[in-house]
Amino acid sequence: MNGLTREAVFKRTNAVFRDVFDDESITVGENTTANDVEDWDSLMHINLVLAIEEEFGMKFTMGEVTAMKNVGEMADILLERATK
Amino acid sequence: MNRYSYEQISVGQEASFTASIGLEQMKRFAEITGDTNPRHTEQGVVYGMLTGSYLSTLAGMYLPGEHALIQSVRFEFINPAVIPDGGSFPIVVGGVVTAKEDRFRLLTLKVSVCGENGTKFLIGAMKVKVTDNE
Repeated sequence: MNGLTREAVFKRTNAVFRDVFDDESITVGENTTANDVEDWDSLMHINLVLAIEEEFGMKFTMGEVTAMKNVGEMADILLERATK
Repeated sequence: MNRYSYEQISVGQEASFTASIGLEQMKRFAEITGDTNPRHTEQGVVYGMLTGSYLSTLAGMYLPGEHALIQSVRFEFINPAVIPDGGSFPIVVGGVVTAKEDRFRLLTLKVSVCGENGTKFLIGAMKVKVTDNE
């Protein structure tokens, strides 16, 4: 158990999004997808995943990287496996 | 041009090449970018971004070559380079693969641009996606 709350995961995830996309207006929610964030293309997806992994001290599997449908599903995995 | 696939590249693999920087390259860089600061046009201090631009060649022609898609480049200028009177000077552009990220077919390269005597002009790191499967 990492003791994280869903709220804390979203708060930190949101900060990573703002940093990666250099956009302070971003606010991610459970259903946020790549379609909702300008500049979220396949190359930025790599930067985003690597930055999230660094923030939470974990690694997504290859399957998770391609299967995650929205930020809520990302948060599910982080709540389970984040180490910091 | 090299045509390495992602699988053909291993951590520790190196590539390097030499190029020449002279007044002609300086003039053309000024034309392209519009940077006509006298530090470069009169004092002959080489544009750092000109030396950095050869990192594109390193990825696109050598490591991995044809299938390179540069994801990010980070570098720092260590020493200034100055064009010798009326002449040009050689640079050595090099990189070594320090990590592979299989999920994204992404290489991390430690890179440098040096003078022939080993003086480092810039050092940094570059992330390059290998798109041979796309």
